[in-house]
Parts: sequence; C-alpha cells; structure tokens
Amino acid sequence: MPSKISLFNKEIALQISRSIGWVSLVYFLGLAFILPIRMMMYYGEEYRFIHQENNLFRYDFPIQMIFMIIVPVLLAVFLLRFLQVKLSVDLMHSLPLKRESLFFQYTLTGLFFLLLPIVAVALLVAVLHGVMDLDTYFGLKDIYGWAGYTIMFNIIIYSAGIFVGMLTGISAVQGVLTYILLLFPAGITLLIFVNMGTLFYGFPSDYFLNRELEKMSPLTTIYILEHNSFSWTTIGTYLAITLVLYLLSLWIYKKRKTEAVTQAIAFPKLKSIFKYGVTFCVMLLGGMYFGEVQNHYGWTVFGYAVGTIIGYFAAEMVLEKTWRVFGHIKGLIIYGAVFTVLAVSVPFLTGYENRVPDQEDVKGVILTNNHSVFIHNYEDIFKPSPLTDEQSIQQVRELHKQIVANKRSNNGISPSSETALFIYELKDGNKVIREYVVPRDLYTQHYKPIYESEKYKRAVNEIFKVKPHQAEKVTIQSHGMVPKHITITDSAEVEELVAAVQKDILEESYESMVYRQGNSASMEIYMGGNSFVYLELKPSYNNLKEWLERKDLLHRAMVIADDISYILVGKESDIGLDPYSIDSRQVHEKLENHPNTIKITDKARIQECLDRATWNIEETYIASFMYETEESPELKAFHRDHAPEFIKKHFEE
Amino acid sequence: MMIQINNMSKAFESLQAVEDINLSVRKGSIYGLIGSNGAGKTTILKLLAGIYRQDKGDVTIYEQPVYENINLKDKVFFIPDQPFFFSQYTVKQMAAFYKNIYSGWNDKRFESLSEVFEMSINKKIHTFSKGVQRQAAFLLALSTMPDILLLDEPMDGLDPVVRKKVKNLLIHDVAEREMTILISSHNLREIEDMCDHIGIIHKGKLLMEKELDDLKSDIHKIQIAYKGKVPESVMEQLNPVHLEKRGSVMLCIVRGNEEELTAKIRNSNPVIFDLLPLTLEEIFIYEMEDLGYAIKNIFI
Repeated sequence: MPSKISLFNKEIALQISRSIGWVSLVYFLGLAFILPIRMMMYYGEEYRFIHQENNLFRYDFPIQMIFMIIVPVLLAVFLLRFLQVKLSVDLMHSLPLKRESLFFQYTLTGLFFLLLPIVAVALLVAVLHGVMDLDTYFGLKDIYGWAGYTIMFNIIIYSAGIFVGMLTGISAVQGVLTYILLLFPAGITLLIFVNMGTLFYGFPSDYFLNRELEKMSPLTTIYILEHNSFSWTTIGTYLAITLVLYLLSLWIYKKRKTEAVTQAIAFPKLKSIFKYGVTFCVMLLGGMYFGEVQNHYGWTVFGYAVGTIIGYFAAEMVLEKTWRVFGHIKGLIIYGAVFTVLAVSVPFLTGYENRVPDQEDVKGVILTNNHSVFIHNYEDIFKPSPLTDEQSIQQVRELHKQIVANKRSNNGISPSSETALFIYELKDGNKVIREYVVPRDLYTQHYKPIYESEKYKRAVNEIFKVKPHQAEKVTIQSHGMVPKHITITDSAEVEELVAAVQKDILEESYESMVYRQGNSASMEIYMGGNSFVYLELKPSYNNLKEWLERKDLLHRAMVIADDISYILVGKESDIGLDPYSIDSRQVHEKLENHPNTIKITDKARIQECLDRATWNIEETYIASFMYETEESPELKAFHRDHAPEFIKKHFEE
Repeated sequence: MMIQINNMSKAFESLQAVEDINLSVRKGSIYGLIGSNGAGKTTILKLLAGIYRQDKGDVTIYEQPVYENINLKDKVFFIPDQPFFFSQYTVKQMAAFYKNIYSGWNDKRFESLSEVFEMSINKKIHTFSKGVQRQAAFLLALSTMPDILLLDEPMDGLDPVVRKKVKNLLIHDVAEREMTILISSHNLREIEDMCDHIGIIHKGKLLMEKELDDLKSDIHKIQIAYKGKVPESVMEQLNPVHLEKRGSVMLCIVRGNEEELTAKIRNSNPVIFDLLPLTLEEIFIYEMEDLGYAIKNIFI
C-alpha cells in the first residue's frame, strides 16, 4: 500500500498532463519559433545577417516577456482546477491521498510542464550553436543565462499563482488576483508615497519614489532582461520569495476547507481584509489620480470619495459574485466615517509639517534642487554632501522655516519654480527629509547666501567631487547654430582647465546661477570608466574663457562675437510672438521692418549680447542673431534685468 | 462499531449544516439516511468520506478519525449525487486511475462487473447518459472493493431494471464480504427494501435511528369492531398511538408484541378483528407523530 500513496502517482501525473499539457506545448512552440527557428532563419548559410545578439532575450523580447507573464499564471490556474471545481474537489479529497501529496504531486508536475519547454528550447539552441557554429553571435553562457532568468521569472510568477489559488475558490479570481499580488508591492508603495505627499506638506514623495520601486514587483522588472542582468542579491531575493510563497501555499492548503470552492475568498476571515484592502487601495488610487492631475484640494477629496465607493462595491461584487450589491452599504458607511475622521484630523497633525530640526540637533544637512541624484544608479561620489558648519545649517533651516511658514503662498506655478529637498542628518542618527516645490523668487534673500557660499557650492556641484588630477579628458561643445567641439587630453591642460572652471563656479553670483541663460556651451569631464561630469558653461566663467583664449581655443569651443555678423533687437510687445509656431525668418523680417528695432554690429556689444541672452524667448526683448556663415537667424531674448545697458537705454527713451 | 459519529457539528460559515449528530453503523449493515433536501445528508456523507472536516465532535471509522487518514480512506468509497469523472476520460482510463490509487482494486471484479453492466469501457464517459454514468460510478466503486460504500442519492436517474441490478450487487457485497453501506435518500420507499437501519435527519438534526426489524415487529395496524359499546378496558390496554373511527370500525395503530396483542383483543370478543401490515412509510409517520413532528415537512 505505501507505494500507492507515495509522492509520485503515475495516474495523477497523467491526469495533470492531460489537463495542462497544452499550455506547455503552446509555450514550447512559441519559444521554438522565437529562438531556434528564428536563428536558423537569421544565420542560415545562404545569407548570414550580421545580427549579433549576445543576449537571447533580444529575440522578440516583447513576445518572450508576454509568455513569461502569461504562461505561469495560465498553468497555475488550469492546474488548480482540481481545487476550484466543486465535483473535482470532492473526488480528489475523498481519495486516500494526503493533502501534502496532492499538493506536491500537482505543483511539481505543473512545474515540470512549465520548465520543460524552456529546457527543451535551451537544448535546441545549444545544439544549433554547435551545429551552425554560432559562437560569433552568442556563447553557451548566454544560453544558460537565458534559461536561468526565464526559469527564475516563470517560477516566481508560478508560485504566486499557486499561492493565490490556495486563497480563492474561483479560477478567474485566481488569475486576476495573481497579477494584482505581483504588482502589489510596487503599487502600494507608490500609492502610499504619493498620497502621503498629497496629505502632508513637505513629504518627500519623489525622493522615495526614486528608489528602484520597479524592482519590488517581478512584472515591472522583467523588462530589464532585454538590456541588463540582475545582481545575485536580487536573484537570491526572488528565489527566496518563490520558496516562501510555495511553502506558504502548502500551509494554506492544509488549512483550507474543501467547501471553500466557488468562494471568491476561501477563508472567511480574509474576506473583510480583502474588502477593506481593495477599498483602501482604490481610494488611494483615486486620490492620487485626481490629486496629481488636478492638483487641487477639492478634486483630491473627490478622488478619495470616488475611489472609496468604487473600491468598496467592486470588492463586494467579487465576494458576492453579483453586481447587485448596492444595498450593502453598512461597511461603506463605517469605512467612510473612520476615514473622514482621520482626514479631518490630518490638518491638526501639524507636527510633521511644521517640524524643522533644531540647530543643536543637526549634524549635517543636504539641500538640493535635484532629487534625481538620489536615484539608485547615480554614482555615490557625485551625490551632494551634507553641509556641516553652523552657519550653513542655520541658513538652510531659515529657508526651511520660511517655506513652512509660507505653506499657502508656495502653491501655484511660477517661472522660478524650484524643488527644495532637505535631508537633515540628526545627531541621534535619525533623518528628517522634506521636499517642496517653491517659487524661488519669493526666497531670494534666503537662497542667495546659501547658493553663493563656498561650502554649498563645493557640496552640490559635481565638479568639486573631481580632483583635477583625476580627470582624463575634457570635451567642450558649443550650443549655437555653428557646431563647435574640442577635446583636451593632455593631463596638465585638463588639470588646469578643471581648476579654472572650479574657480569660476566659486566666483559665480546667485543671479548668474538662476538666470536661465542661453548657455553658450557645455563641458564633459571624463574620469575613466563610464564616469563623467556634465556641466553647463555660463558666460560668467571668465577664468575658463581666459584659459581657452590663452591656448587659442576659445573660438573653436564657443560661439564668439566674430561668428556673428549682426544682431537685431526689438521689444517683444512690438513684434508679437506666437509661442506655438515661431519662425525665426519671419521674426527676423518683422524686426527688420519695425522702426524701433536696434541693429548691433559692434563686436564688443555683440559679445555682451551673447553673454546676456537667454533661450527663453518669452522675455522683454527679442533678439535675432545673424551668423556670418549661416543663412537663418537664431532667436534669443533678454530679460529686462539682464539686458545690456545700451539696449535698455534705447527702448526706454 | 464500524462507523461512529459522536456529538458532531459542522457549519458552512453562518449556515449550520448539521448539529450534534450521534450516529453509529455496524459492520455489514446497510444504513439509510432519510431526509428532505438540505437536511444535512450529503454533509454527513462527505464528512465520512474525509472531504469535510467537522467543527465539533468525532467522525470515526474503525475507531479512528477519518480526516486525512489515508489508510482508512483507502477502504472507503464515496459516490456523490452527481458522479464526477475527469474530462475526456474513458471508463478504462478512470479504472486505471482508481487502480493506481486504491490498494483493494480488483481487475477481475472490474471485468465481470463491466459485463454485468454491459459497459463500453473504451468510450468517453461524458458521452454517456446520466444513468449510464451512474452505473459507471458503481462499476468503478465496487471494483475498488471498499469496506465502506457511501452513496448519495444513488438511485436517481436509474430505471427500475438497473435499480434492481444495482441493489442486488450491493446486497451481494454486503452478504459476501460484509461491506458496510451508508446510503442517503429523500425517498424512503426507494431504499426501504435494502436497508436494515434507518436514520431520519431533519434540519441538520438526527431525529431518530431505528433498526427495521424492531420497527416492523413493534408496531401494528389493527381494525376492530364491537357489538355495541367498545369495552374501555381494551382501549386502556392497547393505548393506541393513533385512532380513527369509521362508523363502528376502529382503526388503531398500536405498539407491542403481536401475540400478546392478539390475545388481549380476542379476549374482548370483537366482531371484526384484522391485523394489517404497515408500510415503512406509515411506521415512520406514526413514530414521528409520537415525537411531535409533523411528518409532511420531512418526507416529500
């Protein structure tokens, strides 16, 4: 008798293969057409395409990805039909088989049928690799890698499918909930961070959302396979999650009652968790959608309300298996009441919003307007370093306090909108992180001393993270109509150049930093490997210009007065620009014909115009730069405060 | 006792399916479980088949709990009210499946029963009519040589000839190898000729459990008539469960030993005296009345 009741039962395996074999077959055919057959087409002897792919995922990746997402779930759903069909449940559980053996028998046979096509195709490709001598295109290692990653994603999704299958008694619900579960970790994190940002002024949503959120969910990471591999930590984590889900499935199966079949949620106690969980998530989704799209308090509240109602009834419909559930409003009313109370009390929880750490508690503070420097693959050495001196901390805290005090007036779109990300490191090891978008012009008196301080400049500008002698190569490109480009590789010269730019930045004024100038050129400093620093060169960088002049490189690196034959300047209000279709020739003609237009030909004045102009042409004065060598003019503009004196004089008299 | 259920209750979420059931079945007996739809018959069978797990009490076979007990389940076969077969399977494939699962499977039995049922074993079962599918279920079940056969409404959809055939086969196995059968039905008449024990279940409760031989010998229908007045002493002695008067003829249902009753009545010199047979259904109707249940709610 024991042999009959052992783990492997031939007839059960046969029964499973009869019900799910087709999924395996379809997967095999799909992969066979994508890989070995496609390779025979590409690399057939008559005409060998130069089609070098040392990553097997690049063959029809979208289709491979769709298979990887769909096949394991489909398999899990059809496999667990024995648990989701009433009559079948009764039969299978009246047999002299323990639940463990049923579980292992089914899931392992399913796994076999899931992996069989992958292994078979990998073998076929390996054979082809030998026979057709495909070593120039990819190696055996690439085949193992392909098979390994494909298996990894298949089994994690498969185990999620099995896990969900144990929690529900309906196959359709199993399919849908599996995808929801797979997206859940990334989804709920996104929802919570974004909603916290809506609810709490200063909550650094973007800062948190830059942390590899997509890696939290297999479905959102698969795309990486096309270009990249995964770290062993990630692989290990995925395999561990797979194993945990698998063992949890067994545990749940042993607790599951057979009568749970045809119930949307197999465990009565989970029903309310499901119901209010769905309500909560859809509420957050509604709040996020309307909050982000409309950015208005009323709409956000509307989003929460609509989300709550939709989520509640949707969950109720799934649980009751009918759409006629609109009478079941008791739970909705209680939920609504609880969250209204919570929402109303949020404004009173101002401790979070008003908190600016005390001077004596702060060890250091980072202030930056660019939260993307905190994304995961940003090189650590380029991240801004904290300001630790008392005066800087004091200045940053003052700015922070002022922003908090002006909570109401910071809203709205302003041309000087600036992100302000504060990261305080406290002496007790904690961190206080806040993020705001503020109209910078409102805070000039606070920003100016910070931005102009040497400590701040050294802390945030990437160029200061480079020791001049580390730089290997520098390139400079001009951004004008005439392309100019120089590369400097001599190490002594590179060192001098980097030092010159560092000096320029230390001397730069706040006004120069914030004026959206038509920057004449940009610079890249390469430091070996893939590491480089990019920066815009401002007209105020005189040390740089002097250095280039001395080397007789200035005219090869940037647009200079000699490149321009003349400039026409007029008042924007006189010319009347249509910002949606700007034709530089037309504007040039209008300028030529307008009596008030000033024509500049003096080289010194041209240089001054070059230094002062901005690309943002919706400013007070519009200028058309005519190059010596080009037929079309280039349009720029001057802000009233930044226009050269002679232009202001001309128009104001 | 072969099957023993003690103080057992089972609920499906908020619905109490069976409550505080005590039931015992001896080895080699055929036990009929009678009740209307939704009374809890199927629940009891599925608990005995190890499909459900009770909330309270014990469900034992050979004094061992059934749930997840594979050695016991190997000896138990459950035929549900709607027999289930794997899709696209032939009788032969299903037989191969059961052969692989049940240690008692008997190939010879399968062959001889296939002949008895005139079963085309190489045809797909889902192409069969409902009645033939049920016969296939019997064929497979009996081939596993179970000690206990659990049958849920087994006669549904079978014509009288097949019914007879099935009953004979079942009784044969009971006689031959002391197989025990627990059979459920909403219709007493359908199974009364084969059961030796009957349990009546109503709204999740087992109302009564009786051995049929006892029942039949214990209760009688009597027609008597007297010249003139009925002697009071007789009526006192008989203490009828039920009394009807049709003119001067009285129809009584009385309990007691047949011979004693006859003697008593003859002593009172009745003009007419007949001892009439009772159908099982009548017996139950009067027994239930005795317990205070209106019978129409229980039988269809």
